[in-house]
Amino acid sequence: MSSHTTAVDVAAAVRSGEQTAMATLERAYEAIAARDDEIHAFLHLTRERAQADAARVDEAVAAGREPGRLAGVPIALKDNMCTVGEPTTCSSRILERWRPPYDATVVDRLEAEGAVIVGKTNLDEFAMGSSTENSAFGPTRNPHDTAKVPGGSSGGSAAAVAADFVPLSLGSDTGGSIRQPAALCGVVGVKPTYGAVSRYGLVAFASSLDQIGPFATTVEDAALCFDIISGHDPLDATSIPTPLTPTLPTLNDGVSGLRVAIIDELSGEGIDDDVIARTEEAAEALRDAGATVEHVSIPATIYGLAAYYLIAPAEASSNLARFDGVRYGHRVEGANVAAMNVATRSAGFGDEVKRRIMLGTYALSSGYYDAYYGKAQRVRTLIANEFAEAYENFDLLLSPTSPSTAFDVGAKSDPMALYMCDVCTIPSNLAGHPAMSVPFGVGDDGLPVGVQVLAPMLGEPTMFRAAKVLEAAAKGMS
Amino acid sequence: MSNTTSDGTDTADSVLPEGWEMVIGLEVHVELATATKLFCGCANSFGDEPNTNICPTCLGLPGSLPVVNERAVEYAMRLGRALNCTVEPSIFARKNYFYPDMPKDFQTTQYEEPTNENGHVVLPDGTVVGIERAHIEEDTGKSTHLGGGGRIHDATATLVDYNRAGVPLVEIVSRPDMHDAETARAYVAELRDILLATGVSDARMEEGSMRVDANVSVRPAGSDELRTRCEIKNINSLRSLGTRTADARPRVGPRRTPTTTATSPAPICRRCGRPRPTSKRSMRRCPRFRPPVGRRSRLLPGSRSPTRR
Repeated sequence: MSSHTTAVDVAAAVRSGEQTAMATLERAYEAIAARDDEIHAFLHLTRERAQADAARVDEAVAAGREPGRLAGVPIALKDNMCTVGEPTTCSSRILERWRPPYDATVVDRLEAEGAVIVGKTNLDEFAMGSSTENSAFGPTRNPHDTAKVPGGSSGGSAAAVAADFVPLSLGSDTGGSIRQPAALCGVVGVKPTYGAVSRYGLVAFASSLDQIGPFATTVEDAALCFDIISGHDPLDATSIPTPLTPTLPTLNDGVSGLRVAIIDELSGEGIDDDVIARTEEAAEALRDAGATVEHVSIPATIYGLAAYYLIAPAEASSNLARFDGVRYGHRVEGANVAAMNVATRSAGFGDEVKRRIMLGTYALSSGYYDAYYGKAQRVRTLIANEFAEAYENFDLLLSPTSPSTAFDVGAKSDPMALYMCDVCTIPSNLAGHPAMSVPFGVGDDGLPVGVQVLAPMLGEPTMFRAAKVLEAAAKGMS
Repeated sequence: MSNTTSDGTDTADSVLPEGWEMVIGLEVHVELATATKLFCGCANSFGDEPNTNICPTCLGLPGSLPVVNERAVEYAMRLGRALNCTVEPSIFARKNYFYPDMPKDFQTTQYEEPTNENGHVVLPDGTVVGIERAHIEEDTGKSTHLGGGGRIHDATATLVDYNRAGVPLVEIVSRPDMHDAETARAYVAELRDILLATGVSDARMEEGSMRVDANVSVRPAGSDELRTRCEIKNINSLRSLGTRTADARPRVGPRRTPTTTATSPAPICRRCGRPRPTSKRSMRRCPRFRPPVGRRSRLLPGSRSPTRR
C-alpha cells in the first residue's frame, strides 16, 4: 500500500518532489505482487509503459515543468480499452493474442496529465456480466471477502481500487458495469452522461449505452478523473461537442436547497432490506445537509431490464460480428471461409457472449425487428420521458445501486438471476443520463453497500456535490 | 421506335411477342471523388498497392469509430439536387452480413431515411426516368478468389485488398421506368454527364467508380404490374449494358414464364447465402437490417465534421 492513498495526494506528493512517480509505481507493483494472486484484478501489467510514463513525470518535475494533474498517479484500465502494443483481450479467447496499433482517447488524456498506466484489469467477457465470473481467464475476487464476487463487468477495475493497488481505474458501464461493482467493492464509481467521455478505443459492446467512467476511493478523485477524461473528441462522433462544466470547482458546494427524490420502483420489491435502509439513511443525510427529499414514481423503470436485454444484445450481435477470424485475433481453420468463421467464433467466444449474440440476432432478424428491437426502443423513449418529467421537479434522484451486497462466487449460475443485479442501474443507460455509486455503510453481512445518485443529462457537477455530502456522512457513520 | 440500335443491339420490340413490353430499373453505384474515405482519413485512391490506404476505422479494428466525411455528404446532396430529389436529413443504418471483404461484417448504409428521395432525370429525347432514392453507403474491400471457379465457395484462398473498404458511394436507384436497352443506355449516359458536371465522381465504369446493376422483367404492354425479374449484376460498360439487358430478355420473357406472377422470388444473396431483398423497399425484410446505434447523427447542411476533405 502506498503512503498516499488518494490520487489527489499522490499527485501533490509527486509534484512537490516528496516522492517520485517511479517509487510510487514500484509501491503499486509491490502491492499487486503481494495480493493479486488472490484477487486476480489484473490480466496484464504494462510494466514498460508504466516505467516510461513514470520516468516522463519525474523528468518533468526535475526540470520544473508542469507534470499534470495526475502526476505519477498509478491507474488501471479495464481490458476493453485499447493500449498500443499491449494486450487488449476483453477477457476473451478471441482477442487473446491481439495487440492494438493505437491507444484509446482516454488513455491519451490520462497520460497527458501525468498518469501512469500500470495494467489492464479483468472483466466479464466483452463486458457481458455482473460478477466478473464470465472471464475466459478466471474470475476476480472481492477484496473485502475473497469468497465473494466483486460485481461486474468492470470487477477487475473495482477490485484494483478496493484492494488499494491503485487509487484510480477506468471501467465501462453499459447497464451498470461501473456502478454495481463499485457498490459491491465499496468504492466510488461513475457512469457519466452518454457522450461526455470519448469512446474511441473502447471495444464496443452496445454502442447506444456504453460509457467510460472512473473508479476511485474518494469522490474528489473521481471528479478529478472525470474532468480529465471528459470533453469532445473529434474521433468520436457521439461525443458532446460543447464544452462541459468541470465538476471540481463546485465539488464542496453542498446540497442546500437541492430537491432530491427516492425512486419508488427501485426501492422496494426485489431489493434487500439492509440496502433499502442504507438508501433511506443516505436520503436523511442529504436532508440534514439542507436538501429536500421526497419520493417519486417512475413507473416505466420496471420495464428497463426487459428493454435492455433486447437492445444491448441486439447491438452486441452487430458489434461482435467483426470477430470472424479474417483480419485479427483468434482463427480456427475451416474448409472454406464460412466454416472458418463458424469454427473461430465457436471456439473464441464464451457461453454468455454466445447467448447474447443469439438473443440479439434473433431480436434483429427478419420479421421480429419491430416486435423486439423496435418495441424495446419505444420503452426506452418512455423511460427517458418519465425521467425528464421527474427532473422538472427534482435536481437529483436517489436509489440503491445494487439489490444486494456482494454474493458468493458461483452463487448465481442462472443468467436471469445475474441479469437482475442491474435492475437499478440500467435505467440511466437507457436514458443516457449520468449516475454514480457512493459507498454508504455496510449491509447485515458487513459488506459494503452503495447508494446511487442519478442526475439529468450533463448534471455531473450537481451529482458530484451530493456524492461528496454522502461520502462525508458515511465517514461519520463508521 | 427503331428495331435495331446503333451498335446492333436488338431492342425489346423486335423479339417480344406482340403486346408485351420490357421493364427495366437500374441501380447505379457511384464512388464519390472525395480525397478521403467516408468514415476515416484514409486516401480514397484507385490503383494503389493493396492494403496501403487503411487504418483502424476502415479495417474495423476493435474500438475504432466512424466519423462521417462532411464532403461526402455535401457531394451526395449536390447530386441529389441535380437528380431533382428531395434532399433531407438522413440516418445511417447497418446491413449485417458476413463477408471477408467487409471489415466490420456490416455495411454502413442508409435505409429508412436516405439523403435523397423522389427525383427524376430527363433524357435528351424527353423521356423522364424516376429516381426512387440516392443514398450514401460505404464500399467494401476487393476480394480475389484463388483456385476453384473464382468464387469464394470453392476457392483455395481469398486475397482481400481493403483500400476500397470505406470509400464513399452513392447508390442511385431508378424507378422501373425504362422499356428498352437503348433508354437504359441513354439514362446511364445522362447520369454520367450529371456526375461529371457536378464534379461529385469521375464516373469511370472501367475502373468501377460507376457500377450498374439492372433489374429486368416483362409484362403486357400498358399494364403497371411488376413481374418476376432478372438481376444483371456488375455491368461495366455502356455497350454491355445494352447487350446484357437485351440478353436478359428471354430469361424473363413470356415464352419462358408464360404464367409469370406478380411476385418476385427472393434470390439468394451471394454473400450471406440468405434470401436477398430485391428492392430497397423490401429491405425492411432483409435479414438483420437495423438503424445505427449511438446518437443519431442527422446530417444537415452546415454541420461540421473533422473529416471534411
